[in-house]
Amino acid sequence: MNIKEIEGLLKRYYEGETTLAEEKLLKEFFSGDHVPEHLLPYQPMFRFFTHEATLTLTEENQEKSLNRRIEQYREETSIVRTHPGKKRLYYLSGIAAGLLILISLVFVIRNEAGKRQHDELANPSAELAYTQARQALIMVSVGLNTGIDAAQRFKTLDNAMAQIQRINKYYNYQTQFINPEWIQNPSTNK
Amino acid sequence: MNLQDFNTKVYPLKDKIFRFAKRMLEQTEEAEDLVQEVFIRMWKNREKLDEYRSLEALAMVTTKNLCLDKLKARRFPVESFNDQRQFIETIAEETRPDHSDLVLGVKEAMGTLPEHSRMIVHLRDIEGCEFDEIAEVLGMQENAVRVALSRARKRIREILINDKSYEYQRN
Repeated sequence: MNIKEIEGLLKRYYEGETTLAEEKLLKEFFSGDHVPEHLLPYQPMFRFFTHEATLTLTEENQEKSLNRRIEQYREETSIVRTHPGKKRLYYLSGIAAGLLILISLVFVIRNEAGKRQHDELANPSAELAYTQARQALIMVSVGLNTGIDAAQRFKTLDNAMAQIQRINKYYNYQTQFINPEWIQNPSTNK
Repeated sequence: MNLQDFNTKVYPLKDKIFRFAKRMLEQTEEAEDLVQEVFIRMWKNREKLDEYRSLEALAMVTTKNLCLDKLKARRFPVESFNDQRQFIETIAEETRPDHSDLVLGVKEAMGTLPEHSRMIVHLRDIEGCEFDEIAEVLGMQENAVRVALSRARKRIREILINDKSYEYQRN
C-alpha cells in the first residue's frame, strides 16, 4: 500500500471521516512490519485496537463469575431478608404509636364526659339552676294571679260597704234633720 | 424467545459485552460479572426481546447503563478489596509479555478519556461499529458521534505522540 495513501487515510481518520473498511486497511497496515519511521508513533494504537478486539470471555471465567454472582445473590438476599424486617418494624411501631394516642384520647374524652355528668348531679349547672328558677317564678306568677282573683271579691265587698255607709250617712242625716228628738229618744216617736 | 433462541442470538454477544464492560470498568472480574448481569436482564426480558430491532444494540445499551451505574457508585469510594484486586490485576497485566510498553500507553491514554468518548472510541475502533449503531447505543445524533470520535482520537494522539515524541527526539 502506498505511503501517501496511508497518510491521507490517517488524516481523514483523525477527522472521523474514514469508513470502517478504510479503518480496517489502516489496522492491517500497522500490524505489518513495513511501517516507515515517521509513522511508527501511530503503530501501537492500531495494534492495540486489533489486539483488544480479540479479547474473549472464557468458559472458565464465566463459570467463576457465575459462582461469584450466586454467592453475591445469597448475601444480598440474606441482607434483604433482614432489611425489610427492620423497615416493617419501623412502620408497625409508627402505627402502634398512632393507635395508642387514639385510644388514650378516646379514654380521656370519655373520662371527661363522665366527670361532667357527675358534677352536674352534685352541683347543678347554670342551666339546671335557670330552669328551676323559671319553674319557681312561673309558680309564683300563677299564685299571684289567683290572689288577684280573690282580691277582686274583696273589692265588691268594699263597694257594698261603701254603699251601706252612704245609706247609713243619709239615714243619719235624715233622722237628724226630720226629728232630732227621735234620735235622742226614739221611744217618743211611737 | 426460548432458551435455544437466547443461546443462538444473545449468548454470542458475550465477548463484545465483556470487552465493552472491561473498557469502561478497567477490571476483569467486574466486567465478567457485568456480562452475567446483562444476560440476566435480557433473560428476564425474554418475552419482549423479539420486539427489538437489534438485540445487539439492546445488549450494548444495557451494558452501557450498567457500567455507568457501577462507575457512578465508585465515585463514593468504598474502602475495598476491589481496589486492591484492581491494583494486583494492573500489575499482572503490565508484566504480561505480550503487552509492550507502547500498547499499555494506548490503554492508559484511553483510560484518561471521559466515559462517553471512551465508549465511542471503543465501539468504533475496537468493535468496528457503524456510526448509526453507536448513535443508537449512546442515544446521540450520528454527527455528534463523528465529532466526538474525531476529538477523542486527536486527544489520544496528543497523549501518545507528545509523550513519545519526547523520547523520539532524545534518541
